[in-house]
Amino acid sequence: MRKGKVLVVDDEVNITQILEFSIGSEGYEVLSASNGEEAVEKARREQPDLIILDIMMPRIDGYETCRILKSNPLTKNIPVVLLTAKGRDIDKRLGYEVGATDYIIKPFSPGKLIERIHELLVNAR
Amino acid sequence: MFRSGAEIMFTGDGGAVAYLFLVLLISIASIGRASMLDRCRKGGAMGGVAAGFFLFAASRTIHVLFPGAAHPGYSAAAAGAGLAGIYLLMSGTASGRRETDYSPWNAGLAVPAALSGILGGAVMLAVAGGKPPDSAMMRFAYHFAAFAPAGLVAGLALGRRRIGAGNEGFIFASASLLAVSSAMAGLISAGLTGKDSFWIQLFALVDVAGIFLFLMAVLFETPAPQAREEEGCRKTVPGALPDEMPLGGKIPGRKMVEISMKIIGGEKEQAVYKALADAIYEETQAGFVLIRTAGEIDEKFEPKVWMHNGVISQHPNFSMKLSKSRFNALCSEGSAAGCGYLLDRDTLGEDRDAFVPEGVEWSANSIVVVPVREDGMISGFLTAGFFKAAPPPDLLDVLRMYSFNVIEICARESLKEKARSARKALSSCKEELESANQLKSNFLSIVSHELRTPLTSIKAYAETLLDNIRTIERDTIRNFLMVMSDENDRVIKLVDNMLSYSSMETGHLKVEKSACNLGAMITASLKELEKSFIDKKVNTDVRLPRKEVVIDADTELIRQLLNNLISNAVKFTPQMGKVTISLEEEASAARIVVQDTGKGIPEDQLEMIFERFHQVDASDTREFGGSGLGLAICKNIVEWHDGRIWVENVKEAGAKFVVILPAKDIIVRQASGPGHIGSVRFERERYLSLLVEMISEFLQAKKASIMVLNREKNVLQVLAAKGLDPEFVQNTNVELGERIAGKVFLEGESIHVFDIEKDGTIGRVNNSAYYGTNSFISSPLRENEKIIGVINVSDHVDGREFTKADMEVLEAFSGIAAGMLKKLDAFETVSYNFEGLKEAMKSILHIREGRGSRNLVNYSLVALAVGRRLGLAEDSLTALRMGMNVYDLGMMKIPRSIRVKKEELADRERRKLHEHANLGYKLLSPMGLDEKIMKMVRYHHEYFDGSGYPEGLVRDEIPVEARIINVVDSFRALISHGPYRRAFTIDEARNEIIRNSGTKFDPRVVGAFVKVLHEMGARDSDHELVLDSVEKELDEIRENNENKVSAGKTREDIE
Repeated sequence: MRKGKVLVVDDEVNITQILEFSIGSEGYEVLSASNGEEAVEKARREQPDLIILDIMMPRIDGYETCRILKSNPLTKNIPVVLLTAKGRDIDKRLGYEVGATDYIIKPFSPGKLIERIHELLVNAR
Repeated sequence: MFRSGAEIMFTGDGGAVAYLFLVLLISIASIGRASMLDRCRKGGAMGGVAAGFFLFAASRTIHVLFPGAAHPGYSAAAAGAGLAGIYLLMSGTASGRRETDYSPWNAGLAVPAALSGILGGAVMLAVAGGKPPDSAMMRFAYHFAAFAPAGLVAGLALGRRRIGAGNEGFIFASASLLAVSSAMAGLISAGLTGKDSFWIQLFALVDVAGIFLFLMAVLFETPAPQAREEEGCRKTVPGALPDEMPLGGKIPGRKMVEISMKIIGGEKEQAVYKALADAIYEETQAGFVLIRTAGEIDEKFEPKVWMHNGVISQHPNFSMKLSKSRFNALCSEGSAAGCGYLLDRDTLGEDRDAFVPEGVEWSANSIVVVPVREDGMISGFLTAGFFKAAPPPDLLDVLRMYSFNVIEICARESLKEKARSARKALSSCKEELESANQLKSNFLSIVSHELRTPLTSIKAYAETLLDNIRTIERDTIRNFLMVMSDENDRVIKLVDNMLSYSSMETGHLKVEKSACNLGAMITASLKELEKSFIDKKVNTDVRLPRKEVVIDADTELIRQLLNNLISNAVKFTPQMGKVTISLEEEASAARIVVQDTGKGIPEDQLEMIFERFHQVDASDTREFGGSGLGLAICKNIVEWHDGRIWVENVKEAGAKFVVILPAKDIIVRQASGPGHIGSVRFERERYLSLLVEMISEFLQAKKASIMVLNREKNVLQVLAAKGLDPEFVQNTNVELGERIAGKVFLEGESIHVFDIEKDGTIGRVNNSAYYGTNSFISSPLRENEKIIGVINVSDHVDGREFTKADMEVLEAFSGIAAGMLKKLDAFETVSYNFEGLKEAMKSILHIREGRGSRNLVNYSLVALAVGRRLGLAEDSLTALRMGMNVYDLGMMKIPRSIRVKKEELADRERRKLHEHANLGYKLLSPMGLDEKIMKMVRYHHEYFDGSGYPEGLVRDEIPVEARIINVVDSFRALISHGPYRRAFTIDEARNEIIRNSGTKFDPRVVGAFVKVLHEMGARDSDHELVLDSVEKELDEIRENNENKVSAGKTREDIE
């Protein structure tokens, strides 16, 4: 059975690579993007079930990317999980304000991330 | 009927009328005079006496004209009562007018006067019973009653006052003489019945004399005692002041206090000066009042207030600036008058504008100037003149008194200034703290990001591996572990950078110097970073010279420097871009250039990027990570090697980092002794290296050495040397008097050899390893006339012979070098902090590097020739020689963005640029240079007409050496490319200088300068100054050197 499609966005290749591996090994289809523009483009085209989004990226940051996604009717219903090193409360609040569903702080545990993904995708259905 | 002498005088034919008239005159004169002169107390006394006489005379006259109509007893009583009444009245008035001098004793005098008069009258009436006097007893009573009151009052007054202490005492003396003599005449006439005796005649004459004296004293007022003392002030030595400040019961004393109250009350400076000018104007009737002051360190007096015809102008437009020295000179020319000076319009000459602005007509020929003195220093002056009415006799004291107000204002303003600067320091301290805090936040956010990123990867990979350990493929495991290892390296590198930066900042860095082959190190660095080039698809273009470039440096630090610079370039170069690395060897340094094809660095950040934690883009969306420490570390490493690093943008694209590392072929003899360990040893070596570097740089010598006397062994040893074999440096001992160095040390004379080969007495022996060319100079190192060592130079960079001018430069430098060695001793023994000194030395080296040495030498020669032509003394020429090398030093401290700005500067930038004169002065001050040199640095932008900076000095206030430098430097600036104008030719530049002669430049200096340019055959070649005479001289030296050998010893003597 198709477990779902996850888009992973991070400018660090190492992060997208490990997420592709670990989320992929759980049976999800994993796509990756290395910046905001690419993420918006891929989200629109591929219609993933979940987006995992880094905040600190060159040019368009994660907040802005999230805002763009949420303002587009095609992508606004896709849940967004922010995955970032920015761990202050204010950062978190800003994240929820732009429409993120969840907020996970780096360094993160891939196992726990996958659990969150499971929950979110089950909830979405 | 018996008549006394007095009766004959005053009751004879017409005598009574004359007497009446006389007394009337006295009364009117004394009362009128008294009130007019505002000497009320005296007036009171005189008026009382006069009125008493008047009443007495009136009753006597009636008695004589109508005998029996009035009894003399009445007139006596009337005299006493009138005297008392009027005296009381006047005394009271006087007291009312001058509260400060009230005395009940004055008023109290009236009581005995009245009592005696009334008593006398009563006795007369009782005894005579209404009849005229007919017995001796009656005549006695009659005279006693008539004159006793006046005599009594006069006597009492006399008792309180010294006779002769001014005309007040004089009046009383004469009045009492009159009264007493009349009383005596009465007594005598009472005794010598019926006869007119000689004595009575005599006392009558004395009566007349007394009245006359009294009249004279009142009519011809002589100066009061105080007034005479005031005049004395004017006769004292210039500058000396009276011991006591006479207030003389005048209003100014009160005005002065009122102004003081304003000062204390915090009224604005301008308002206080205005009040002061008003007070002086009112007090002295001056047509103008001017007050100027100067701070402790200021050279000039600034106008504070100018009042002309009663109108105040706070900012008078004085064309003349007035320096303290000029003011002193002017005062000594003027005529001293006690605490002030009278300055004459003609002797002031053009300086008159400093006192009376241009355009104001001189209605009198001289003006009065009173200096404001505080702690023996003149901190300002008050000037007044063009008086509308006769000035008060104590004018100078009035001005001097108000000068205390000026001192008060100055003191208050300086306090305020101190408070202001303290506040400023505090706020800059606060700013610094804030920026440190900002830096800390930058650091935290950058470091946390830079640490979290690799740590996140490591954790994610490790956990994933653990979770899937059974299922995961071997290749994937290898791949994951490689990522973890790389990320781990990233963390290590970051931590390393932070640690090494921190150790550099705290000065705990250990620098171990050794021969460092830069070409090989660049190749090694490139290999180390190969992977990043490949990953990013960036090409390299490496240009290394064929010859090895070896410098003396710490290999590990240089490796770090190269790695940081190259990886920085790769980081900012886009894919398929190119990084160019080149290495060049310069005269005494290596130049490394690392250029990328990134987007360059914003112009305003060119200097900031070397600051720690600074990143061009510090936002969250920045494209490039990094700790922000890399370039700060590079800068530290370069500076620890006494080099320079900067960055510039390349036109097409990208940034170009340039590193200059001095080729340290300088060897410092290892000092022995317990003090020379660790950082002290290192500091000492760096310092001596700089010193030798400076000598070699100034003389353009490839080889240079400093030798000093070893007191224990009594031999000369090399302290530090450039271009010589380390073995030689460590082991040479020269006996005094032996070889050239020993000879120079003993004889105290420089030895200058043009060409050792052509010198008949010096055989060219071995040792040629130390000498590339055949010319050298050896000069004694003097510290206050005592010779402490020897400086040697050889091998001119251009391969030419040293000239006599070079020898003079070395001799000039040896004094400075000796001073610096002394400071080194101080550092070693008492921890003298010579950071400032080292900075100054480095700056001097850098500025020379930037200028092009031939150019600099030629301008120095021109300046010296101008100095000689103007007949400057030898010490001035020596100072000029050194000054030419350092005058522009402050430019080092001006931000590059201002120095090279292409557009015209904004006001704020211009002000900043103008600071360079003072900054240079500050930078050089730890070197303890000659005052003349320091003044050249500070005043080389002062213009002849006062339009220059920083002080706006005029004419001969500017030291002549600075005036020369000003002309030469302006000329240099004209013929080189300006930031926003083309370069002038020699002729154009010269005409420009001539055009500004008399305004910007001293006409005498310009005259000499133009002649010197002509004589030396100045021409321009590629915007540089070439002097035909110098070129010719060098040619001639080479041709004629056989006859010009000035020293002759064997070749071995050199070492």
